[in-house]
Amino acid sequence: MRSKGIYAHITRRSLVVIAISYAILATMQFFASPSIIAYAMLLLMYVALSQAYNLVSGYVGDLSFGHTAFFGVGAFTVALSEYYGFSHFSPVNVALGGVFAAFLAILIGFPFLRLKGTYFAIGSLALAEVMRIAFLNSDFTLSSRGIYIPIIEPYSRIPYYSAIVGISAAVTIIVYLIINSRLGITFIAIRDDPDVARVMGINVTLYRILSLTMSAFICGVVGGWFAYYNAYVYPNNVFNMTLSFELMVMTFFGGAGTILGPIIGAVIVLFAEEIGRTYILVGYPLILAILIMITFMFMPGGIIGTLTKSTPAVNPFSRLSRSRKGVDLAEHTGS
Amino acid sequence: MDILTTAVQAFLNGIFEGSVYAILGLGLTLMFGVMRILNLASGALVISAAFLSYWLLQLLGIDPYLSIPIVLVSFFALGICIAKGVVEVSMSSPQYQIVGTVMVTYGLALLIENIEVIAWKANYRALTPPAYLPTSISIAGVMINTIRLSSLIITVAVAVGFTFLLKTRFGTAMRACTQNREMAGVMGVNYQSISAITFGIAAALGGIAGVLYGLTELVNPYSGMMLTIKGLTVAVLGGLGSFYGALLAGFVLGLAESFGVLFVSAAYKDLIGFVILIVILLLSPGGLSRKEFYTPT
Amino acid sequence: MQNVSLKVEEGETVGLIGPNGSGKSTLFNAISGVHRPDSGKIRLLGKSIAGKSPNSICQMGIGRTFQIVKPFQSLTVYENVLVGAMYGRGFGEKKLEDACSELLKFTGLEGKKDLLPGNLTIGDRRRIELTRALATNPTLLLLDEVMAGLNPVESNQYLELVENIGTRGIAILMIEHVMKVVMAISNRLYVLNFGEVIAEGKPEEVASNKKVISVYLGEETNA
Repeated sequence: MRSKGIYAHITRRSLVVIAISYAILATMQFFASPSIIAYAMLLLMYVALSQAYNLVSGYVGDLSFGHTAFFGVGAFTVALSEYYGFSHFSPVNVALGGVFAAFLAILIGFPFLRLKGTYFAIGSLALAEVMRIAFLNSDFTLSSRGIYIPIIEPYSRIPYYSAIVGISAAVTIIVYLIINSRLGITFIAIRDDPDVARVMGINVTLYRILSLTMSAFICGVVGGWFAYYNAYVYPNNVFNMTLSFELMVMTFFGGAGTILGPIIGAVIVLFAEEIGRTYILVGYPLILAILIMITFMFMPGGIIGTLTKSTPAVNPFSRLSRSRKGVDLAEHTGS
Repeated sequence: MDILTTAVQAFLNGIFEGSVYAILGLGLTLMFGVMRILNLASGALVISAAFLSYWLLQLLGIDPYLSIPIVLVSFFALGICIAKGVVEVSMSSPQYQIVGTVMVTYGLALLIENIEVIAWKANYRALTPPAYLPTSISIAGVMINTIRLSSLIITVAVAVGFTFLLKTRFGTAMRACTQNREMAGVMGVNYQSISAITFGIAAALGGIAGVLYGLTELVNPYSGMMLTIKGLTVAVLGGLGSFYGALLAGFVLGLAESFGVLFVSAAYKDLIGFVILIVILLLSPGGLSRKEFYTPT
Repeated sequence: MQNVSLKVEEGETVGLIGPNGSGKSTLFNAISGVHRPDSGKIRLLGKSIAGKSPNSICQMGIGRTFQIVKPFQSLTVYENVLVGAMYGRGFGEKKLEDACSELLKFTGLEGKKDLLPGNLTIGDRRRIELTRALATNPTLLLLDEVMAGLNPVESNQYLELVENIGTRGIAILMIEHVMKVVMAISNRLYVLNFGEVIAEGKPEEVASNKKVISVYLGEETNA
């Protein structure tokens, strides 16, 4: 959904809604209760992460199962930087987290992004798990003890809250700008039909890496923020498969390839998780599982996609759909 | 002398553990070959089978080996249900995509996992082996764990049975589907039915693997994902289409793990499979069918 | 495919005909870089392009359309064309937006530029593909059965369009089944059968070639 063509009015309307929401959230910190603030912070974090995930899996169409890797890298950059005394309480750490995550993306991008959809998905899953186990067993990262990050006294939520509001808003704006730019058109073209995109002169692999890198940077920065906010970084926490999955559900259930989708997805999924945690305790990802199954069985466009579906041809997943032999240009009858 | 013993031990361990992986990989390859989807719920199904056997033992006192037929039948049925209920539904949705089906199976895996956690908590369970089996027997001077030996025997039996299956009419139809779905349809093969039955068989195979796995390892509901990835490693290693390749690859993985832990700490054992998977995926043009993995250039 | 040797001169319109399955699309795929040829040479303006990636081949100046139309479904007509303009050979000093508008006027799609391909007729979708390919500013345009399935009115419009493209100096290699068209506008023809060239020459020559006639006997209704 971009601000051109038939979706113009929808996207602009959603921007207004989003802007108002952020304004409310920003001022909320001064009068809302701590639990609501905590919830809001989580929400903002997930909104930023989902938007970043959306960039890769919704707009370019590379299904990633291991996005938590980028988040974890960001978190650990901050944690290790604090622990080894490299720098203290500095936004530089957070930015560095983003940089390292982006680095990882570039590193794995070249070999991995040549793989077709399903295989990239599995590869990313395997990679994220490898990182988790590696960090869990390495003394450099304090193995399974986790790293504590000291908190500045006196403790106040405000800096953390403002930071995440800012980060989240910035991410939304950035993603919005990207999507409405020529880069966005390129991404969508790649998603719709990478083989044709290639023949039209697009270096598909390069742009896939680009989107993964941007997405990784964002996730790394958010991970860095999380490290400071949570004050404790532990591999099973930040390299967590469930986190990857949460992003997937939020993005796809909300509506991949739309601006509003991940936001709505984040709101609903977090809410569902809260309910789940209250009544089901352990095992609450059950709800996520159900949501993702419903999405892909009955409404692949997600909420926004299904609501705004004007023609069957507007399919956010046409890129992901492969016949058995893939999109094979030689597969014509005749000629 | 010491090295030799260790090596032999590692070799045997590898073969035994590999046998479970082999069955697992075969199931995945079957599903992929016929339906072109990677079933990410296979690990969860395997663990469920282990649990089924566990509860049959705990509640009804049924011997684990005797539970195998029960598991076989029930998981065959379960497989068909999943194929019809979940996979077909997602495949027939207006915007069908193969990757979407992968998501659905992933969701299914988590669904199964979490239902089990809710029902039975996340404790590790062990399937106690029957008392009538000696723990280990001595063959040619080497101590061999009987349970592990049994899993090898059963795997071989499965492989033999599978060979016969391929020769039957059904087996031929199945193979036709893996080659070319459309052509098979033209020849009168009912693709839907074959798919469902294949899924059932694969699930049943997973069931056997589950019982065997449960006998040798501690299981908890979360072990599923790990197994799925190992299964995928085996399937990919075996060429993602070659049944015997998958069987062979299972043993390869088992050996890789057992020899691997001689060099790195045991904590990294699971990592070995993941790393192998990543390496194969990255090196694909060499060993495996290039067209399957890569988009041109 | 074997022993295929063909040449397209600058500004020429060359037709490629042959029965179903003779390898015409495969040839296109080899030229545009989708499939790597096992042997042989492919040269564009003297430079070898065999084995290069599809996107570099496009930037060197080869544009193509597809037998089954594949416009980018989530992008508007204008955006589809813009993609071609952005990543093709470029238009030098000219702004991309201007180039796109011009091309859309040229192919008659200007009025529909903000619509999505899914809402348009097949004829229009073909035109989107054509415009998009033109937007890459090619020196050689590969047209894959652009005339198939069109009614006489659309056919004539397309004929004019293709002729106009030829007048602009763009070399065209077109696969066609509709004989009337290919005979009318080709400077030369190649006939392919079972992956081999069995005849070449001016349209009249080829039409009276005994081999060609026997290959086509009973297969094509000549319009």
